[in-house]
Amino acid sequence: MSTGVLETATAGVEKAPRGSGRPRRRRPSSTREQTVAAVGLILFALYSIAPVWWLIVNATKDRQDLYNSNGLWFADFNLGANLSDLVTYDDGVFFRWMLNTVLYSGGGAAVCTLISIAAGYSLSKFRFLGRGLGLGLVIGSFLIPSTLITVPLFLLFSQLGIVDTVWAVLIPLFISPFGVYLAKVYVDGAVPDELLEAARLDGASEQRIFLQMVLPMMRTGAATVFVLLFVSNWNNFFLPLTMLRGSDKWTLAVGLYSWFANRADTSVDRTALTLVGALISIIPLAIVMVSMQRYWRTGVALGAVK
Amino acid sequence: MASRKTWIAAIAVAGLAVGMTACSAEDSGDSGEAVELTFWGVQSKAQGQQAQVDLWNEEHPDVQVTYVEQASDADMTTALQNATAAGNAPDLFEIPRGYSVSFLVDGVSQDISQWLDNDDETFAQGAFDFVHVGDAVVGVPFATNPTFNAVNTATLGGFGFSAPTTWDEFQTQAVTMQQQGDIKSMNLPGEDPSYLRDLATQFGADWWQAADDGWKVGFDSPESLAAGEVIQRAIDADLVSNHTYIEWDALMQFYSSGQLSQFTTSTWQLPIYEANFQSSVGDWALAPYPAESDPADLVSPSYYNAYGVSASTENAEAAVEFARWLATDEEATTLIADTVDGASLFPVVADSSGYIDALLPKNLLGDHLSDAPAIVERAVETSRSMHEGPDQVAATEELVDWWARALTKDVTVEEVLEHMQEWTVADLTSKNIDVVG
Amino acid sequence: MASVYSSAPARRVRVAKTPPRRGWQAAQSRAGAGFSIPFFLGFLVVFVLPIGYAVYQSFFTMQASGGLGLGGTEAVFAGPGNYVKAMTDEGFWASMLRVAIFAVIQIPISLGLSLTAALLLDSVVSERRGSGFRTALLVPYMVPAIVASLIWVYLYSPRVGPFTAAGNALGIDVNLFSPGMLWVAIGNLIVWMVLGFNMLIIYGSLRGVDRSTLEAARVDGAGGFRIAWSIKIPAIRGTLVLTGLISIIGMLQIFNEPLLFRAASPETVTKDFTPIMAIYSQAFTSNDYSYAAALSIILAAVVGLLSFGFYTLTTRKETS
Repeated sequence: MSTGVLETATAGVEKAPRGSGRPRRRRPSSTREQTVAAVGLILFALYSIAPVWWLIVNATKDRQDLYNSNGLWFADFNLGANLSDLVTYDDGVFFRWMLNTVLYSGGGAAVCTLISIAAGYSLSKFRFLGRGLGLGLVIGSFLIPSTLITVPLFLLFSQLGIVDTVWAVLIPLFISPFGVYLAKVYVDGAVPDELLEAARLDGASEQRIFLQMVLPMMRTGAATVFVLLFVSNWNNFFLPLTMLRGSDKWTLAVGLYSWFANRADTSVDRTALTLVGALISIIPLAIVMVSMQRYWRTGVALGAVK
Repeated sequence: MASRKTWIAAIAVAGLAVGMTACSAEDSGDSGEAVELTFWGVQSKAQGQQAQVDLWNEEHPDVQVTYVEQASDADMTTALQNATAAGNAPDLFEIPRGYSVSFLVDGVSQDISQWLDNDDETFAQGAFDFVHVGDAVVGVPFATNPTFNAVNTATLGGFGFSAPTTWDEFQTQAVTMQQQGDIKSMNLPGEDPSYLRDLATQFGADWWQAADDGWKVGFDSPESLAAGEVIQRAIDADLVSNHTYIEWDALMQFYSSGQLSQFTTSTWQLPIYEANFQSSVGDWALAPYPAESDPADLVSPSYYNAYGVSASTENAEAAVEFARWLATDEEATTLIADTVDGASLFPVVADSSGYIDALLPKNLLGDHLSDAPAIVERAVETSRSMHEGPDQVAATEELVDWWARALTKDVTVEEVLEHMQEWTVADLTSKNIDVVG
Repeated sequence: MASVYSSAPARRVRVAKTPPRRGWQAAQSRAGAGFSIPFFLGFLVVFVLPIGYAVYQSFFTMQASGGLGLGGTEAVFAGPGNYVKAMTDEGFWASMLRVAIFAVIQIPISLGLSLTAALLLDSVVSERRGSGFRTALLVPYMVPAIVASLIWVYLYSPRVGPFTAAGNALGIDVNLFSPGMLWVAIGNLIVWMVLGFNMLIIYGSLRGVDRSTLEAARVDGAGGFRIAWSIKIPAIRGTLVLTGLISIIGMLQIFNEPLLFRAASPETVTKDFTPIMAIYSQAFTSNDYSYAAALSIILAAVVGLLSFGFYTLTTRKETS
């Protein structure tokens, strides 16, 4: 099916006179198409963002209004008080949590992206003994529920003596089979074999090829992997909860959860804090996303071969 | 607040001298090095624990405690189970609700009967009975929840009623209110069968009872079934609402709306209602838990929280001593009973009357505040609780599934209890625990 | 080194599938394998060892000491006992069927929506606008899970939420916590959370599609829809298979969302409503990690089978 269509597409190219500069029946992405796309995307965007309106509105409320006023509109505007509570609660533990989270998310995602791309590149472009097994293991590991491995991982790390240290959280974050498989798929699509062969014939070492050719070509793929891992790490809850002890080591996800989980059990209701905290915690994520935007520009020119 | 803190600090300094001599006397054959204990609590739930630990550390330089906060009860449980398996469990921890016996069975906690008894009657007897299972003592009790009824006087007054003194009176009143005003009189959330458990406790049932050579399972005992009947009557007459805790805002609005005539509660919950209610503040009054038959024979169901000592600790005696201090020392209990900086926990000391006034909210009860302390005292005096069982939490999960079906009238409460009897016996047997009777 | 390369026959650029015998090909394979080493070393520690432990544990059961059981518990070798128990566990298999049916309905909808969003995004000409939409669609992915549940519990609430109110205004009785609407409610929640995530993966792949082919098609007169259907979608087949696989595995392993609804309507969502809920309940509530391990392995086997079937089906088509 696919080859047939590509033939048609290329046949179309041959039809139009080369270099004549005057294409027949040309249909540039019409205004109509752009409008349809815009409408569709606006609908998707609304669907995604509208529920977060609830978060914005309710982060400005105090405890009583939270439980008694209409959830979709403001009541007494209490955002200032909520924010100052957030900053001062428990000696500013919120910012300690944020720092911890930035460390785990950023550090973990950065190293993991590098490891994943290396492995993805390896599994995609090379043939070696055990490659098939490796690939199978990667895919197979998606099947393992994390509830199963958390307990033995904790026991293993206890044996190694790294429980309650940063490494107990970072090491599992460095290893993402999902990242590897995603990277492999991206390398399959973005890095042509001919280019690699050309470089090898030119005498480049494998390391040089990887660092100076493959990585730059993988900009979009790497950015995607990094962002997905970063966000996933940011909200990762189970891992820091199991491996770390003591509230000053918590990440934002665990901290916010601890504020919220006991609201029906205590006289101090921290739901308002949780909501403001959640709102603030989205900001660094948004910053990361926006600063990565340039990697999704249209693909890099393919260089030597074509 | 400031004055209280300086007061506490002053006492601490004064007590330091006394404390030092007392503690060094207890150190048996130690080279003088400080004993270090790790203590896990759920600070966001039992606020004030860090303050208690700080106070102890000041007063007892030879037994230093490190406090580690856990995120919630559920996480405390998994963290303890993991830590026990890995060999790095804390010395002392707060036992999450439901696990007092099963932790002993699973080897997470140890029997502390050689260090803890109530011969000097410092603890309320009901509290000590709760942790005294068979010949073992499963933990150190530190808090309780005296249970009573909170009635909306405006709603009841509209019908000329005052608070019901027995369950029969409750039923007749509630039926009238339902028919004439669509007023509900019991809120039973599908995810919380505690109303059933409380009633069974009041009626004298024991869902798990430790006999000499095994457990006696009592879900289908006559007392338990009688308790189930009371609930079934209420469900059948449509007196029951089903707001769940997850929709906390809807729940609070419903409670304060006047459409619910009463709910059973305890001291630690009252400040929550005062803070969340936007209406009916001042209409509420406390009344005794409706009695089974004779108001003079009142039994108030209650529950106790306890600290457990790890099975692998090397400092069990010190841990027990620290736990006992947390539960009975006057300053420590005041810290945790505080309604602002503490957790409004009700202490388990033999004479707890001094704590009651501070625990009562000032606005919620309006003009009825002056009658409240007597109600709370009576609730404490008439407390009874059931022992927990070795598979308490698993059984509770199963109970929740069936309880929710009873509320939607899919099954009867009697069928729920019969099922739980069967299920629990089978579950205990499969774990190689003996069931008798 | 240059001489070795230049002396190799130029046409021998395609590497053989069997383990290479020539010196330089072996060196190349070794270097290639070397890139995988950091990952697989870590994989050994973080995955293989724990799974091995879990498998080992699944052959034991925890038995109390009889009597009141207060004497402690110990692990007793049970051979295949846990597995036999798992195969005859009605509740567990009912939960499997439940999530399988859910997956069959949910996944095409979810992926279809993500694919549509990605394609629409890809066709946007303005860079600024495109990145704005991209960020907007990723907002749900950035919201922490507890907050997402708070939001949707409120929105779904029959008592205070807007959906029921809107339904009442239109005269329809809408209750998203009722047993009938439960799966719709869960399904919508999941779609909301993963739309941006899946979209981003697909979009990343679309960005790699050769622009000159697309230009050629346009010159030929193909409209946006035709281009999408005939060129773009086949070009990103690998990514679509990946997202399909992830979705299958994810749907069969749902845990947090049903748990949330358990609190709202516990008569419908029992404690072992989904396979992972059953496993979690066994592992942590009943403290029977061994049985939980056995159930996990059986679940992994079933999911693996289904995934393998999906993978073979979709990859085989490519070569035909």
